[in-house]
Amino acid sequence: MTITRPTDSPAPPIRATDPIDALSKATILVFLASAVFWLLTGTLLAIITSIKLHTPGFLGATDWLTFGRARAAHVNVMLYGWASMAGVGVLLWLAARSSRFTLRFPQLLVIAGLLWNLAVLVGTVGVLAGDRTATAWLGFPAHSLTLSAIALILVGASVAVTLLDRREPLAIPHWYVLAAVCGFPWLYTTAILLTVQEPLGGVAQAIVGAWYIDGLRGLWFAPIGLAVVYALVPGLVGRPVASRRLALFGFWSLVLLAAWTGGRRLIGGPAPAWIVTISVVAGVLLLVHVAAVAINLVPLLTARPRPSRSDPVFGFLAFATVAYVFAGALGSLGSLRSVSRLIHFTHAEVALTHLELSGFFSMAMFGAVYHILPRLTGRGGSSWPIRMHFWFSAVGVLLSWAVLTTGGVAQGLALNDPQTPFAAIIGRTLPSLWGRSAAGMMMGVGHLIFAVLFVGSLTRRAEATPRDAADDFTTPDLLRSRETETAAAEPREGSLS
Amino acid sequence: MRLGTTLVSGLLLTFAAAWLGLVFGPYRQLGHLRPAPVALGDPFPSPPSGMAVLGRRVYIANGCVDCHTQQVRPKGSGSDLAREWGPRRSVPRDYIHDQPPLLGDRRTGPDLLNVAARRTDANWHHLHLYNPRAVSPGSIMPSFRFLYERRKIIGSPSHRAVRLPTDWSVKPGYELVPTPEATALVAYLMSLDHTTPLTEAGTP
Repeated sequence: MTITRPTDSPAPPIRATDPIDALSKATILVFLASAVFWLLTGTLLAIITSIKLHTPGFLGATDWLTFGRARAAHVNVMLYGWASMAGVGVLLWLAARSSRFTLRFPQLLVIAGLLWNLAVLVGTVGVLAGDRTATAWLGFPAHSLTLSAIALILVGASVAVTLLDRREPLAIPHWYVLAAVCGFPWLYTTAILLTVQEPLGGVAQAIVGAWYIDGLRGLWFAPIGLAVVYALVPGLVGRPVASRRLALFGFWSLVLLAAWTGGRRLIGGPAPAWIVTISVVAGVLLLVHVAAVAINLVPLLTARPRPSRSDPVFGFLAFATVAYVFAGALGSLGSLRSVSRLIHFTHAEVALTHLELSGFFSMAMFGAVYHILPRLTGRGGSSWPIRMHFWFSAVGVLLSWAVLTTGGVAQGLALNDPQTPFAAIIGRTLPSLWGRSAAGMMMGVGHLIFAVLFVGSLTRRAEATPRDAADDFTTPDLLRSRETETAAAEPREGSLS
Repeated sequence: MRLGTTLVSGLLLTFAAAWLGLVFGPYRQLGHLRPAPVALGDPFPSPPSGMAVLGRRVYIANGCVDCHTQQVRPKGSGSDLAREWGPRRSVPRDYIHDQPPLLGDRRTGPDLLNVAARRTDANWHHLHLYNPRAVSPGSIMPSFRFLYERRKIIGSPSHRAVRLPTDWSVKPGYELVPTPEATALVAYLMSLDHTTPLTEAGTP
């Protein structure tokens, strides 16, 4: 295999049929296939956890599957097994196609993929056996966290070097890719160091934990998902985003604010008031980022005519975009102390997290995988099972959000009324907990379809590689048509691209 | 390359600023807190002792923190005080010995910061952990049966056995004995008392 990029000959336009080198392709597939496996594992754990919350006797009183352990295993398998590994697979794809399908350091990436799987496996078994940290979103035991941190640094270095080495200007998706691979390794190693390896004591550590959770959402999942949407949607609908300057503004507003919002998780808690106040302000300001994304992308979703409307990938990406905007708006609203007073500590916060991770991020990843896979394996397939997956996931996500939000608000109202005894509060949330189990099973069916299609695509005989306009997102024609006017009017802004 | 480097430098500067604010800042402010002197007593909070340290690990391992907070919010931020979950709000000094802190972010169950002040009977805790719905109707807490040993009484009953109410019991001739983990967990729960007044918490 080769790890050098092509030399200085004039750049040919990039096509899906351009040969991707075997090792880069294998690396991407390793990450995506692992992600699919962990998605199924995490979904099974999710359904067990969900049922246990309304029917505590389910599966008996075994130590390995007691609620607290099963939930921690579910959360961490989903975050680091499914979402992060799928995210890395997609990041590698985006980086690879920006550099004529050659990733830098592909051998290291294969090692990273193996280390990462080992970390999730060891971590999951550890959590179920009772070896976990107390930080919910960094729940795997210390040795597992160290392994995945090493893997993450390898991935980040490869993607960053691949992107920075290319000759063409960086396009909008590449900004987000760079933000993800610069931001998250730093966030992750800092959080592991200060909460597990050399832990700060007391509330200072709790603040780091809160800072990490919002950072993981805003500087890892959000940029990866947005990179996918910005990379594929303009191609699918056949027109560029409305304004590149607005996209730039949206990008920097996210980067500036996302690492500052963590303290809003401690409203009312024993944290210094200035931390909470800064975070509330940052959380509300994040609305300008959400608005920038909405103004740029939502018109594309409703644009007519829709040339590629028949492409099932479009549905996933459209859902993801709308979920991002909606969840972002709700998140900003939830930063306000008055709203937090109602929903803090309730299932409504879980609802918002699920809307972000299942509604936005997972849907973006599904769309990306359905787009990437035929281009890597040369095998397409019929689109009706993909549509079934879409509907199961879409209805499951919306149902889960709706029941948990209504149940959470009822819970919050009851919690805030000191006359309501605690048993009565639990009674009020039970219907929504049952509803969430039903929603979880619907999503589970969708995930099963996804896994079957994924495995099928790897094993079936090769057909023709599909090609469509979406493949051209890095070529000058689509994205640059308006940008050239902008760049001419404002050279400095253009120079950042 | 140069333009990409500008972008990356910008990113790193932004992240460094947030790190200084939300990670280094709190550490500078809170890292030096010490126990407060108490008239006629040990400084508060006192370091955890013996079984409670072990019990804290059992609490973490089984994910109690996933459903129970350990923080009392001030008036205006919920009904914590009105529900008598504590006589005052919790402040950073309450947590200086907590490694790691267990503030929690979900109230599927009630707050436990001062559970020792409310529930003073170790036997109640054992009954509750073994069969939550027997002592707390409507509860959705899982049973922690695996922390207990049901064993045949040979000779005289164990003095550590859980005292069962008359209307429910394990099989006749058997007794329910807490494992060391259960004993430690209850010791930890019975150490959770942050009712000592602190000046910064706004009580005399």
